[in-house]
Amino acid sequence: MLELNNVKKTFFPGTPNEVQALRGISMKLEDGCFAAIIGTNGSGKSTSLNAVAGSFMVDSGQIHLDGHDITKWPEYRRASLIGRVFQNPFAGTAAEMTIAENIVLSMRRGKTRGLGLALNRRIREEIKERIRPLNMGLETRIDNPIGTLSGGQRQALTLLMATWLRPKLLLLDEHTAALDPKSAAQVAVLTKEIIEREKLTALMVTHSMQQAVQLPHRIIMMHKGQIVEDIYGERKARVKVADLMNAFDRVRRRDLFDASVAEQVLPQFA
Amino acid sequence: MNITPIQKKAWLELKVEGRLDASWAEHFFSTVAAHMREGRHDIRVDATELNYLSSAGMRSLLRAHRELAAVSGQFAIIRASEFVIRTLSMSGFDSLLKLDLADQDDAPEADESEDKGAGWTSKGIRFEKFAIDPDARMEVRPAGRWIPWARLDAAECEKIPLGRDCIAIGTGASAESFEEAKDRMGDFASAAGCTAWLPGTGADSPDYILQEGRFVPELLAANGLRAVGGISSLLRFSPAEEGASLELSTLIESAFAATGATSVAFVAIAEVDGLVGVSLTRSPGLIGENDKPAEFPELREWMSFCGERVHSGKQALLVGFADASRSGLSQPLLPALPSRNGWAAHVHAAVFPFHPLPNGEIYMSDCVAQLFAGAEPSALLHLVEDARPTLGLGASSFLRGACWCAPATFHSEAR
Repeated sequence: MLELNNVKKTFFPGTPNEVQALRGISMKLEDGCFAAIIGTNGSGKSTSLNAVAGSFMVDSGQIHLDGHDITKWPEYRRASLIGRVFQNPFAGTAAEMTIAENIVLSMRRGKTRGLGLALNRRIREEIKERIRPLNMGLETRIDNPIGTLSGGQRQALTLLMATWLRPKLLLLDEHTAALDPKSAAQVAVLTKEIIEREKLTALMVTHSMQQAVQLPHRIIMMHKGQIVEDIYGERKARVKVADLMNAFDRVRRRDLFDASVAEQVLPQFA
Repeated sequence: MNITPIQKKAWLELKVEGRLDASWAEHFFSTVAAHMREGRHDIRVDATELNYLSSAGMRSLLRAHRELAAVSGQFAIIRASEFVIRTLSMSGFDSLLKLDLADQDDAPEADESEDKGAGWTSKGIRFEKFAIDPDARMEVRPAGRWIPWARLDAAECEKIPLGRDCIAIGTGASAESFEEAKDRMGDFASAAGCTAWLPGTGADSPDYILQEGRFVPELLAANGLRAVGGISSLLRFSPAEEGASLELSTLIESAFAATGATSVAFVAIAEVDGLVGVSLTRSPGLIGENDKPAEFPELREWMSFCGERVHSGKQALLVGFADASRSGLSQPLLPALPSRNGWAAHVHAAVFPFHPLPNGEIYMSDCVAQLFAGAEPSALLHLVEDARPTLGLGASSFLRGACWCAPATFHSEAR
């Protein structure tokens, strides 16, 4: 289970560039829950993911994952519990290394590595078995450098690598945003399949309302560093893209409702 | 495909050249719909140059025919080629489409049977007035005693019937008891047995209840105005100049003029140019001891502001009360209208997808019922004026429509 409790983060405090990126966010993700975070640019959705991943230390608040208080853990230590897929399909893999070599690295993430051969016949067969269901024909190309693959193929492999050891938490940071529409749809379907099959707890940042409606169990909407909507259960079951657009519109209208508007409309509300 | 509109005196002719097939069917129908929106309800298609008609094309002709029939309009195909006549005849559409083989240029220039009211033009808007019942008037009484933004008590609420004999606006909920209603009270508008209300639960779209058979809808009202009586006049309005629109205060002014009264109750159905309004997003039944809903920024937890002029091109059902008599009795529920010194008005608007109204004299109950029989209402607003310098959104305005109005007598207590 992931739990964030009143997490705050301000970048460049005390300078003209000060940004209150997280203004006390709290959320609890039960085991097996797949949640999407949506929001406008600068709303704090990626910052939330990075706070959980340990890309920076938060100013205050606590982050608990799988019973551990990871608030003060460095990023590399959290990596033993967390799998990540980034927006850039070239970010989660080593381009010069083969598919098999990249995967074997992920198979040993968080484990002690010795000087023995990383790849043997059994492991190669296991890799082939695991990548065959991607239906991309990659099982015959495991000795090809991963840099020769398309963005969609590479992102699918990154997703597989991130979930190979069944992490306690999977973080997806707009992981389909840089792909062409067809590849994005393929990776989205694959994401749902893997998360459901492995019963993973996952947090996905997305700009796609369609993905937010179709993929996760829960939708968290952020605005200006705060959670403004949390849609789950029966509300999630009936939510449509138009409802999310309405929710964005409500947030926008709320921003436009300032003191001068209040002064105008209050006397007219009988 | 080329569609050239030619305005004749009594009808609009659309000269159609090319193929009316799946690629062009939607374009053809949209063109007809756009002309209908402008009040042209007698449309004839000159098919001289129409050289192909597919099933999709026939369907668009049929759609246009049905839409025009729904507003008592006319749709005909004239000067059709042999091919078009044969295609329509073999498909069985000739009877539906009133296939007119004769050249229509000799037809009478105006439809004498159409009702014409007394007309005038003001601020670029053409008005027509139809006297319905010169002696009719509305008796308006308050419903509920909640004063915004005090805490709401069960004893202040009042259950009100909203049958076909009344019009009403206010704050309330469809519920049997205060306990059931207190977390969902919101703005409502009711006319001709049709009531739209926006639950104060943060809901995006209104719910609605309709009078059916012996079932008369009831609402538990925290406050509101309910009027019983008859309509004295119908006003039809449409732009006489390009770009002209009718502001809410001008509509009210026209209702004053049409009724000869300084207090009016009215119902209008109008194509929206832009609405400016607020709506309750949290039920007043939830106001707690320590809440200060009338103070900014807490007000934003209770009320939503449209933020920009909204719902352009849609159809609004307006239910309102206005007073220019400075009568003290009506003041608590009739806030001052900022743009008109000494005027007070309270108007709610339920928003629907656009659907054209028939021209001429039309009946409120039919039109309101037809509105609710179509697509569901998408919004409900308490209309306000935003007179802020530079940033202000101004007042709600409308392009064309119908306004049924009557002189109103405001009573201070419920009967």
